[in-house]
Amino acid sequence: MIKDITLGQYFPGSSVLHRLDPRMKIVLLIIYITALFLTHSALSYFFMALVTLSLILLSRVPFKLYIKGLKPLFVIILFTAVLNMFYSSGNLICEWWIFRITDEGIANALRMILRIMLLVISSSVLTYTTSPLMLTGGLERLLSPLKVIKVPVHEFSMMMTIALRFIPTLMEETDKIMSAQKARGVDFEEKGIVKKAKAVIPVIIPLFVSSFRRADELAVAMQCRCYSGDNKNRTRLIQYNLSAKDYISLVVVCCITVGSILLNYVLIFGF
Amino acid sequence: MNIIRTENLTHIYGQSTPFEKTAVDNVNVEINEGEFIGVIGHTGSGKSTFIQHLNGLLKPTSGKIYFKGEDIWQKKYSRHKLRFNVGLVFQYPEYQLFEETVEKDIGFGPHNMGLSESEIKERVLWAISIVGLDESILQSSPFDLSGGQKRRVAIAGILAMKPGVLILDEPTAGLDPLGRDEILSRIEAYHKSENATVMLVSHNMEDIARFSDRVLVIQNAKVAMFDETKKVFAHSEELLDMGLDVPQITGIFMKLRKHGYDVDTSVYSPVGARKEILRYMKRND
Repeated sequence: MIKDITLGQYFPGSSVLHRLDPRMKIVLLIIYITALFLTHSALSYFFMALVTLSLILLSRVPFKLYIKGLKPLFVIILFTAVLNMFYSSGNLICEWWIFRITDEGIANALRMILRIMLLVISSSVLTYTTSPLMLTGGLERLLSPLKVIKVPVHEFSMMMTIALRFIPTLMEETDKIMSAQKARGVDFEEKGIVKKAKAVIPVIIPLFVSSFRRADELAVAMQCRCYSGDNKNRTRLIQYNLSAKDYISLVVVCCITVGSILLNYVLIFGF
Repeated sequence: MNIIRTENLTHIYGQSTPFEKTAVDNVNVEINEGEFIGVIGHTGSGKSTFIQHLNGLLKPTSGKIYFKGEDIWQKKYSRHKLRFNVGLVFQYPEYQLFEETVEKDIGFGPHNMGLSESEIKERVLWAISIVGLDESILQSSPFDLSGGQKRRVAIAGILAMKPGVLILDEPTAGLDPLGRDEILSRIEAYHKSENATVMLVSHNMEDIARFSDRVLVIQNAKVAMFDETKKVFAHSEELLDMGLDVPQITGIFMKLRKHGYDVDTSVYSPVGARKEILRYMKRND
């Protein structure tokens, strides 16, 4: 159950996408997402779906992983789609009680499904191909201008790095504690919301205690290595340098964006 | 009579993914009632995975586990109840403490068994005496105790269920020698007084040699040896080849042999050593 959460997981590899500069990848994702929100016509969606598919292929990450990442969002996607279906104007197709389904509604629902799926997949492309360390490092650099107005960018990115780093550890720990409590007779499969909630307590409390202990130990370990927050004299092991492939990818993504906007004006059967 | 029996027990993690790993490979063992079994093996050899099958925490990929002759994965078999009969103490069990008081924490298992308040109280008092702690700590918070005390409280929490089979995964890891001896002798006391079956996973060969009737050696997910303690330590060379340790005394006798003294190298206890030396000296008089 817990192991099914894949969002934000890194899949090591050496594809072109893996090797792009993390800063550039974040910028590209933002542009790409903007493009997705500007997409409207059927042809344009088809185009974006194709592009996203080629991104998946380029990332050399198993297709299964992307599907797995979509699964937990299934309910949300369906919910949004249904809502959109009923709250749209347009030509009536059928009507029942207070529900009215219109052609525009169906089109909107399909758009929503596609948009959310493409959004999740394209974000996954970023997280699958970029290690958490690179991701937060890139984000820190991108946001560093904010330091001028006293935003603690470095501290935030350090917090994020630590949080991401400890997700798998916490999951493992949860698994362990659950097994230990099962051995003491806790039944996690029991039915009834009160019983279920009760079964959580023996897991949550030890998890909290060990998280605080771990945080404490980590803080001490960092201090032992003279960590002092944002320090101007601190250098980095990995220097980010934009190379030709980063600039080329920027041009490509910009072209895709322009393309998707232009395709909005080419309608098939009015959609 | 055997109390636990496994039949071609196999467990594969992440089957049909790139991370596939066989942690338990075709294991057939029989454990008799009232035995003290030592389990040794390298880190990552599959010991922990193996023992988690014995109380139904993990489902085998293939193969069967029988408790008192009954297949624990057959339909309608209550693995929930099985866990009260096969008590499993995990590594660093103190990390599972969560109640406000020591008394409540030790009583958690018995409470889950559905025992009455008076029975729970009785069990708690009994368990705390078995692990050698004072009743005065019952009302304190488990988080205020020292490391060794926490460990003992956690073990008491399992003992309070009075399991017929007690499995301990490195119960003495991270404790000082005094705390280690204390805990092990308490476990032995439980083994003797209740005629309980005990499986002790440990990296410490002295402990294994001191308490076990039989020793199970796990190597690369397979059973490498499963025999009487003396017979297992008679294969000291093989154990060393596996990267495992042998008891210090066995080590000394191996060295003696290397230096040309014709002694039996399966010796593993001080008593046995004394006997063997006397025998050797008598023969060479």
